[in-house]
Amino acid sequence: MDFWGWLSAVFGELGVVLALGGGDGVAPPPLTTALGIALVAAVSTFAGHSFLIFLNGIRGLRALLVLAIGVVFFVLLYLAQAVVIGLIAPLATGTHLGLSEVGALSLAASAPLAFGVLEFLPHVGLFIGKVLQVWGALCLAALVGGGYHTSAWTAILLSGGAWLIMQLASRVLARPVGLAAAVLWRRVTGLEAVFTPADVLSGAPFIPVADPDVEAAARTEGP
Amino acid sequence: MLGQLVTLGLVLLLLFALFSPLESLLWWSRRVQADQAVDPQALLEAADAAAVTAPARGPWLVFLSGIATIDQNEPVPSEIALLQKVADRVGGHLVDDVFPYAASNTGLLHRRRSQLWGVLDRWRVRRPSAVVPALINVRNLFQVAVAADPRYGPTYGLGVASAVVESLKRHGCRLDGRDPIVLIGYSGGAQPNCWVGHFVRGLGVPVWMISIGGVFGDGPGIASAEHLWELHGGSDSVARAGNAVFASKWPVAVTSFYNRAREAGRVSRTVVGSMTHFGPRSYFDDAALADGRVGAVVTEEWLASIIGGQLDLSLPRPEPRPADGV
Repeated sequence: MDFWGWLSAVFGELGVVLALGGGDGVAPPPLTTALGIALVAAVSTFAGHSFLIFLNGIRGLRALLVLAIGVVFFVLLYLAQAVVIGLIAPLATGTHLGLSEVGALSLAASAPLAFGVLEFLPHVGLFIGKVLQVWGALCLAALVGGGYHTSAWTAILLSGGAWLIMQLASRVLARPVGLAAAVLWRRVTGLEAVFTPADVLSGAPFIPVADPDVEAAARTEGP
Repeated sequence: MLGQLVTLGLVLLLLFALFSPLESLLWWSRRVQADQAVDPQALLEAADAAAVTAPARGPWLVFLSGIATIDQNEPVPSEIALLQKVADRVGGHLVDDVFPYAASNTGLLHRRRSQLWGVLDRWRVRRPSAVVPALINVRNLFQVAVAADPRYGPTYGLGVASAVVESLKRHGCRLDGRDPIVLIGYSGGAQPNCWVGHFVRGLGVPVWMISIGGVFGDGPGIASAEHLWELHGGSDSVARAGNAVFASKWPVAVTSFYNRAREAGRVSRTVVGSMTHFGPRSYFDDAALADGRVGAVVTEEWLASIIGGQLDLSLPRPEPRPADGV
């Protein structure tokens, strides 16, 4: 499939997922298509975040690194969700899906974030963000229902369970993952980062606000 | 064809809205990069303005006008005339030179695109019913939304508060906590006050808030104010719509600054007459209302009564009090 064919498939599948498959569940798309959907969602979401990065005076390579880390964490978040679904769904449905199928299912559920840039609208953006979260949960349920050939209620319970486990995991893993990300950032840039664990697991990019005293010390002492 | 034009118009409006938070964020970003004060208290205390009038005592009435305003040097004569009368009656001073729809306090006629805004302003004066000049109102309305958004409100509010403090100093206010500051917001001008009140209170200065047909949501300034008076006209559908649109004012929003202040008895909501939101028979207009009274006179009486009678001017200098929950 050439690039334009792929792009056409991505947006076609995006529409199917957003419409929840007309209420009949959505079969997980191919992994490449699902990655395309996640890419569209990430670009839309990070289009807004890039303004914040720019306004914080982060330029050049540092800005690209911040955005890249943000996109990586965005994808990792959905893959972590895939692992959770891959573990619990077979227990309830008796159906086993391959890693790529479960990964595609989870990545495709990011479809509503194709409108993620709208979250930056003043005031109404907060409401839109909530709507996109609910829509995303519904897309996940539709994909779980279609992928595991199960009833709507089972799909809702499974995706709700996956969400709950992700919430618990985020609280347990937040600190170690946040520390690891901060260490990685310091090794790459030589600067300290204001980087909360919540930032990592929310999939939001972080803004490395360096303490000027620490930055000055880093310049003289080196990483 | 018409459908395509409408779609294009909506897309442009959406882009306009998306870019609206950038102005205040850019103002903040430039301060950070220029190593200027960013701590709110330091920023406000450093606000440097040579007094053009001798220091004076008495309540200070800070007026933030509605979304039709275009520049701090182009105030609406009827609004300023009314407020000056109130200031004279209560032995206070009027501060009316803050543009509330920009963190940088730069009016629309003092910007790079001032010619465009100037054309629109002259157009609406010649043709009050023209639609295109409403772009001024739309632009300012988006800034009200920015101020009402907890993500963008702090930087926006700090900018406007900085302008308010500078203006107070320029007018001779000592800001030593012995003279009350009354923040009066008309229509959309009430929303920036929801942040200004918080930052000014942080200087140890008691703050009261009055909204005239105010369209506002929430902000820590409501918690910081000694009291908030909401004056509405009975025929003011715009203010009523504002109460419906801002979820922080709904009864279920029990944790909002507004509802907590209301629960504590520090919010008074009063229908003062049958005024409309703007134009004939509005708060600052001389046309007779249905009951024979004049809107401008009713508004003046209410303001004079509140400021002249209900503010405790004998307050000792209070300690800076952080707003609840902030």
